[in-house]
Amino acid sequence: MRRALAVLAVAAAGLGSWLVLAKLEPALGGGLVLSACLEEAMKVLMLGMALVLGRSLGQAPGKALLLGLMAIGVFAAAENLAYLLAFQSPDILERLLWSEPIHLVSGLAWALGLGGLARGPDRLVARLLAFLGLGALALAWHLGLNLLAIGPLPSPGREGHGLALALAGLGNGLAIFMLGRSFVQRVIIGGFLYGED
Amino acid sequence: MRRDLRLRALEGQLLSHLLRQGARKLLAWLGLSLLAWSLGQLGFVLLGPPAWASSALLLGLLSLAPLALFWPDEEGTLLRELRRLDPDTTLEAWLGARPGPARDLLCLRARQVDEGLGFRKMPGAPGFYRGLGRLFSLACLGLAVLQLVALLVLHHPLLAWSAAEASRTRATGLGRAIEEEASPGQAEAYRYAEEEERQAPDASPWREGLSAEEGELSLGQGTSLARRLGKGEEASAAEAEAKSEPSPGEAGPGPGSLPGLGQGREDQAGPGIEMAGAGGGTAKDAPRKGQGGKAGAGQGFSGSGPMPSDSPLESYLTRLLGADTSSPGKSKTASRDLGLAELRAFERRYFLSLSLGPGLLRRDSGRALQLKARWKALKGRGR
Repeated sequence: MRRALAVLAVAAAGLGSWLVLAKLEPALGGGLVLSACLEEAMKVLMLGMALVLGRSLGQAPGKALLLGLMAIGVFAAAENLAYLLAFQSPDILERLLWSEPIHLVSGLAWALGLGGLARGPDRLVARLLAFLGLGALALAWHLGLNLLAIGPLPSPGREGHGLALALAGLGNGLAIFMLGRSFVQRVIIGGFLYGED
Repeated sequence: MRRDLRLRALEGQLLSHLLRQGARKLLAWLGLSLLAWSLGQLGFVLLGPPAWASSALLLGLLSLAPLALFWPDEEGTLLRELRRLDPDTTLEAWLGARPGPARDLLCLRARQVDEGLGFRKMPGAPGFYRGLGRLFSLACLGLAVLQLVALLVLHHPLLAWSAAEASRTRATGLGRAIEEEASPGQAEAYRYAEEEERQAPDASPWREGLSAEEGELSLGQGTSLARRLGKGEEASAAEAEAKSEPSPGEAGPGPGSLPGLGQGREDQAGPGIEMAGAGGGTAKDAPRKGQGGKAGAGQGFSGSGPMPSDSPLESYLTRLLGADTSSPGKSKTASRDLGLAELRAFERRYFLSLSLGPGLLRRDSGRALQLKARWKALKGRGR
């Protein structure tokens, strides 16, 4: 029952955040920088809310943040499907190598930073700096790859497009692996073994 | 945090355990996705949606992979793993001890156990494949059912619904039936246009002359004519009529330009296309299916140029002879084995033609009467 409720909450948070951003971004004038900033802010908000709610329900920070990451996954999936409805062509699948991993990388970076903050007030400044650094990394990753996509990246069908896509997929995959491993080690296992400071 | 000792080997063991769990979750996602893919494709085969439905399903399923990866483990899974790795609970005792001399003693022992963990080969955690076998069996069953249905309906195995499949299924079978049910089809549009045409005041001398003779054509004659003409022939005859009316060769709006039953879609080899291409030629010259576009250029397509013959009767007879003697194409070849989808399409067309009998009869009567009147006029002139 609790699991079903958690799944429902995750789906609602992901879809709801996508709907809010779909209305908010055009209302504020759009633009790559603004979109990236708004989406990253939404991710921090979702992860933070998951952390606060999870703690109030007695969940470990790692588990609560995982639920927040799932909500980000739902957000990315909703965005993919919205793009498919707008552009019904097979090359929309390229988003799976480019756009969706961007959300996962930035989400993991934020989750890692928040997981550090959730460990307690000890060494708070260092953890706050780490959180801000990881947030800057998330924003730079998001914005950088978006700018690359509309800038020097060869458009679909042009020479070099496949290579660029493969390199981006590889880079995204490596980043997800490293951040994910770090998140599991520090937040999940570290939280389980050593608890809060 | 207990900074006096960091249990690196234990952390490594727990990490590998969680990575195994992650792999297990990904396998479960793969099995579920295969099952969902099979069911989705099954639905596509039966319903014939547009090709992008397949992309949507693929995109949706692949987009959900991170959710499987982030799915939290069950409560207590790490604790169970810890107790499996350290059955004496030395590490657990140290982790739970309050600061003091007892904890310092436990720290020494915990360090030894942790170092031992790094060298000890641990058996894999049981239950990795639990439930996965059943899930993949179900997915394989789903794939098998999909192949069976695809073989029955499409006559070939299917892994992914493609644009070619979508257009093929729209052209025949259940997809087209659904499409026509969903929106008023071409037959409806034709009937509506015919009614409009009938109700509109027509100053043509033809029509005035014909109206007096309309009762002459008996039902039997009309039906046989309708059957003989078929659907495409009728559209071609109407086209010839439209061409010959004011000035030969000049394209103008007429009944032939209306969408009719005989005019298939572009992707559908319909008799109307064949007949349009056959116009103006002899029976031998009648192009086969697929050649209509090229061969028909300048030979009777509306707006394509003058017809070789200015006489509507000649044109009509040529077309009629062409229809009777030329091969109607692959779609009408009865000597080969018919597939279930084709059989259904023919059945459907047959019953549709029966249901449209009165409409066709009325319409054909008009055309036949027009031709009859011309025939009489020509005969009179000849005499």
